[in-house]
Amino acid sequence: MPATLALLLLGIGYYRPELLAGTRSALADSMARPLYWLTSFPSRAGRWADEMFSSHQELIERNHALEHENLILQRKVLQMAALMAENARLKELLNSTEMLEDSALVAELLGVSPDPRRQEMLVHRGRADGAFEGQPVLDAFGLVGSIVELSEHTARVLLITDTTNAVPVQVSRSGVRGIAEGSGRLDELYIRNLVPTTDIKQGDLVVSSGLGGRYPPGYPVGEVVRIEYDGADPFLRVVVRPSAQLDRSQQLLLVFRAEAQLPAPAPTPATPAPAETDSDAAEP
Amino acid sequence: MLLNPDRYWWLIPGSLLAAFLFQFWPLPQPLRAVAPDAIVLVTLYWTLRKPQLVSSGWAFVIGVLRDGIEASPLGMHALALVVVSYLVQLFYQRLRMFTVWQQALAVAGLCELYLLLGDWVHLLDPRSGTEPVLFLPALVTGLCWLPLSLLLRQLEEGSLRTPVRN
Repeated sequence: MPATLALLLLGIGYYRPELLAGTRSALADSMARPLYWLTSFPSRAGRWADEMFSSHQELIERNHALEHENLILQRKVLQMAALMAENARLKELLNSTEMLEDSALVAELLGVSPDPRRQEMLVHRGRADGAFEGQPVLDAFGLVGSIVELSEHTARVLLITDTTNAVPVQVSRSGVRGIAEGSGRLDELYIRNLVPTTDIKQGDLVVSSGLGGRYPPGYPVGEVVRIEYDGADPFLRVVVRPSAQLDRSQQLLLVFRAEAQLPAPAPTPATPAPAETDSDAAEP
Repeated sequence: MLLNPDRYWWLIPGSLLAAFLFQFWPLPQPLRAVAPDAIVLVTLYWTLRKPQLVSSGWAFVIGVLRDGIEASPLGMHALALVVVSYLVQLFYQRLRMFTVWQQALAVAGLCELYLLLGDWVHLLDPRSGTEPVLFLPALVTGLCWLPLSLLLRQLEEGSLRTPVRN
């Protein structure tokens, strides 16, 4: 009897997944959230202890270090603003289109999928916070993945290293385009189908190209660590190490893409972005 | 067998909760691939101990909860757990006669069946990966049967013995 029930559930889930969406989302909110909250206890306790027991002296030192870092980042932002203004002017000269500015929302990591076949994370933002399916997710170092499933207060992020995920990318040095496929391991992505004469080298930075419209263009995806070519194969196999810290990041950024606008009049250089957290100034 | 069930009623939900916590505990990836399946282990233990109490209906509920938390296709773990616990219910008298090592072997086999069933259902999922099912977790689960069954038995008898002494 229960077996029939289970088969029935599977059948409904397969043919009419929308009928079970409510149940799934309710289960995620009522069961998964508290459970993952409990299992993340050690890391939270660690952070709490860190905050409670760090001495005054340490806090001052950290404050100083952060101030220094802030200064350096500020300088970079200024430089960025100038570059962006220049970029906008050049684009205007070329009669090229929009200047996009993405905004982002910080999301806390809740848990990681225990299934070794799947590379997924659960984050503490959901439909109630404005997250949507297919939304790209970053951390402070690069592209992490995109949201595949949502409930009211949680979202499931499919990592770029999942075997079912692929990101359209571009080598930032030469502009060569390709598709980075997940390998099922946290530290590798593969770019296949590049001919051996392609201009790609070890150490090249690979950024998202924005083709396909799922991921925003220009965010770092990874670094080329190895190029495999065995002569018999017509294509190279390029191994890329993701730049995002997929196994370490506690805080992730959900990116809201700006609507494509008409070319803005050259923005004044020093105006900071109006967004809550600007993705360019994300802290490491 | 059930002398005073309300003395240790907490053991079943308690051990299940512990199993769920263990299952979703953040582990490094290489460890994760060989981690025992605690939920199957605990469910099988209670099915073997109390087949009248922990029926396949409960296995279904546990499986659906796990599906909901893991975001696997709803019914995947439920089906596998129901089948495995039904097998235990069929053969529980024989299984109880086994030595603990033989039981461990049987549990490893059942866990393998569980993984295979899960993998088979997983193939229906449009975004399923293509990695082969792993045999190591089943083996590790079988090995973990030894300490777990001893521990739970100890706890159970400990909480059973108290009323006798009084």
